[in-house]
Amino acid sequence: MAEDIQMKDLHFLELVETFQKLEATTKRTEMIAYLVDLFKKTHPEIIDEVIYLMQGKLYPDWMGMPELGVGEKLIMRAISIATGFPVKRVKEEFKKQGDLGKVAETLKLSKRQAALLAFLGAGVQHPLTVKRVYTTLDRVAKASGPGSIDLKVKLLSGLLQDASPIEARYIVRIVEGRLRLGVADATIMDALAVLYGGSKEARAIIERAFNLCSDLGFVAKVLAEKGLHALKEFKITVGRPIRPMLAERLNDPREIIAKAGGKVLAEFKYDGERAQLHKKGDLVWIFSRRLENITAQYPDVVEMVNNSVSAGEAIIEGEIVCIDPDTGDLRPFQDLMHRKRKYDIHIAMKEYPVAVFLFDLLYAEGEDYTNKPLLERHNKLKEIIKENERFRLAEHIITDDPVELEEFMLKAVETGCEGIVAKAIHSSAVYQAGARGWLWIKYKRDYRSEMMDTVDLVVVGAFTGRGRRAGTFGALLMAAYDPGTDTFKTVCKVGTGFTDEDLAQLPKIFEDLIIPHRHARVDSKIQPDYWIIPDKVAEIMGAEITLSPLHTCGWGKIKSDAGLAIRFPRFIRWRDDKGASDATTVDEIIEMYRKQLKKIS
Amino acid sequence: MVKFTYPDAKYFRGIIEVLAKTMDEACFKVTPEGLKLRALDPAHVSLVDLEIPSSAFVEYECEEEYRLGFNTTMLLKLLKRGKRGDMLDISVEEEYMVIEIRGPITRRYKIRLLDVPEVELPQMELPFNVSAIVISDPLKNAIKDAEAVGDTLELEAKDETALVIRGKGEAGETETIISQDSGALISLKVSEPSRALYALDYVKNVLALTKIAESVTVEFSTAMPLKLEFSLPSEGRVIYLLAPKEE
Repeated sequence: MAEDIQMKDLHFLELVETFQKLEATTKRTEMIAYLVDLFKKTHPEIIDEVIYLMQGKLYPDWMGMPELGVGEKLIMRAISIATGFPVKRVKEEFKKQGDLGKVAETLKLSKRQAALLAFLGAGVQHPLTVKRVYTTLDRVAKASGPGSIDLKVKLLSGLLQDASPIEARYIVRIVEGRLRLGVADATIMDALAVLYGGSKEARAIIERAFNLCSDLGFVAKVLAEKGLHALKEFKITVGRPIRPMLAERLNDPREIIAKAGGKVLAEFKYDGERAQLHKKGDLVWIFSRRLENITAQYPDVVEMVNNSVSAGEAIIEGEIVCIDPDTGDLRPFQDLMHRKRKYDIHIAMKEYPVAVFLFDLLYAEGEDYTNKPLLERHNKLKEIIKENERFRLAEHIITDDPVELEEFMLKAVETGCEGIVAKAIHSSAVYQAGARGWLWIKYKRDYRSEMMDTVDLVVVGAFTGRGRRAGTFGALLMAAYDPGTDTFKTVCKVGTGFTDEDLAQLPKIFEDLIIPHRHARVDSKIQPDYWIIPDKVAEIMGAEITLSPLHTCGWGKIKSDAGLAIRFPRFIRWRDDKGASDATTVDEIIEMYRKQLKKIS
Repeated sequence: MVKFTYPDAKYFRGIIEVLAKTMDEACFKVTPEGLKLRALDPAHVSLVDLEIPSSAFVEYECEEEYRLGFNTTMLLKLLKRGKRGDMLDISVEEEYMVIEIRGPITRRYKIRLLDVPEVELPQMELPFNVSAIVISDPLKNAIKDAEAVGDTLELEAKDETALVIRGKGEAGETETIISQDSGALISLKVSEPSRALYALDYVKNVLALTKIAESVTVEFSTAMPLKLEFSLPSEGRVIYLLAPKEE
């Protein structure tokens, strides 16, 4: 509508009519045609608002802007004020229809009038425009402090007051977060490409810009205002998240190496939260895999970035993992959930400390690294970070050997990881923002065997404690008994579950049992700081039993070149009533593993 | 240059209190003739119309029309610091509204001016079937009584002897009769017997003004808006217009 373009706005009804058409089809080509029509009528100044509203939001999620914060009850109050029907009637109608959008529409159709202006003979009211709807909802979202609930309701009812019945339906849907048009980002990009470029190449340029800033509204606005050439020059901006590159999945190490081009950089796939860390001067942003701004949850990570990233400007990627600060052991993913709270983050920070394992670099000192091959990115990453215990590169190897890759995977799982990610390192192995491809391949275990009961294990070695545990032991090397050979086979390293009192007593307990060499009856591939005569028995619980390239318990019984280990082991208590040869046997552990073995998806 | 001095900060606060209860943002239109404000609440159910002529101010400087947009809650918070008898100066300094409360000591505050869009509103020329002038205090008490039991205020005038104010809600009912003999009713004109309902939530927004104005003009008709007009102590007036509630 020429008139719309002139007023630098768009009648909201135009948008609503497009919504209706989009809802009525599942064909992508039709959707694209409707969107092209709509964008044609839309003034460039508000095309971002049109796109946000279409996706049922006001800003890209990662901006961390306030949500509308208007629940069902408040919407009913707003409908009541706007239509002049008592809340009771609105509730009844809601019970009948089960859809507040429809309720608003029906009640608007009933023609009661609560609007003051109607009584004043204001005549034809100005039709709603996209700008009016957007700015009002923006005010609803931003209202805060005392009295803000009331203000939200009033602003919304003012909007509903001026809306036509069908407009009211969609306004309510947007506020409820129930506008589900099924229009994917890709479809919107297709439509933009048709309108502003008309070629395959245009589509690729739009998508790249989107992948670099994760804000389709912004991309559309630049495109509409300045044209395709402006998008070609589109640059990464620190503070705007880049859409993450994703991995395919395979379960055969041979195939993985072949698919990735013969040689891979394999990294532990930590079971934590993937994070994109942005740094600009002393400003730091942390974005989740789903591009939410999670900076507030990790003040400790912000500090690490400030202290350990030497570049003034950088975007790097890593996995945030919960750890046991005394042993350095990884803790299960669930522990990280304690960081998902709004308040008392400093308490969660103490109880659930984290480490960051870095694996990629996308931008540094004004230079875009997404178009550079992996090893170049990895080297630059090494160059700009000062590694320490809590902030370092993810455990990694470079290999072309499937056996080594397999072993690395088992080690990863035993350490508490989900598996590994093998990454191509050839010259075209660039960072494919926003895409899932075969340059990165996940290799996770297929099976898990949950541990249902405790085991009694013998202490055969010990490790020096660090930090709070200086002067005592940090962890103990534990073994199961093998009556066939009368030896003790290692099965885990335990450092968790000890009370401070337990810890303090450790040196005394083992004082007389420490020997300078491995005991003849101990079978171990691991070299502890102290060897200990098999004598003390402890009850141990774990999360699961897993294949291990490090531990000797059940070696070769389930899989050649692998033994069994306990994942996430925890000390329960000493079993002074038991002698070393009364400990749980190797065969019992193999049996436990087999019994609980389940395929995982 | 815009600067004006209101003789009593306390009274001015009463006016701003009504605004703060009705809307989050408002905009004074300062003209050589006086201070004006006319705005709907965000739900478009009520309207506040304020006019204070320049002669009501101790000092008044304004050569051309000037718009002063502000956050109502913020201004109210500052004015609450004033006491009866304090003088109030309002002026503009760059993008700030400067408020000075002058009593035994002078306090100075600055709040950021906002760009509040101007909404064009039609002039009110509603005919009313009932028009009463009542003493503020009994009206205030009738509203407070009604609030104690319900969410709806009912106004009724069958003839020119009395104005009946009822509170209605699920919990019960209240009734106040303001009649000529009680002395609370100054005048009452009824051209057609009328009865109308209004949302108490909105009516109570103007309670602050009942403390300032001695009398209030109350006008309404069946199923039509309610108009309350408060005369301000020196000069000027506030009109509050409210859409009716359905039964």
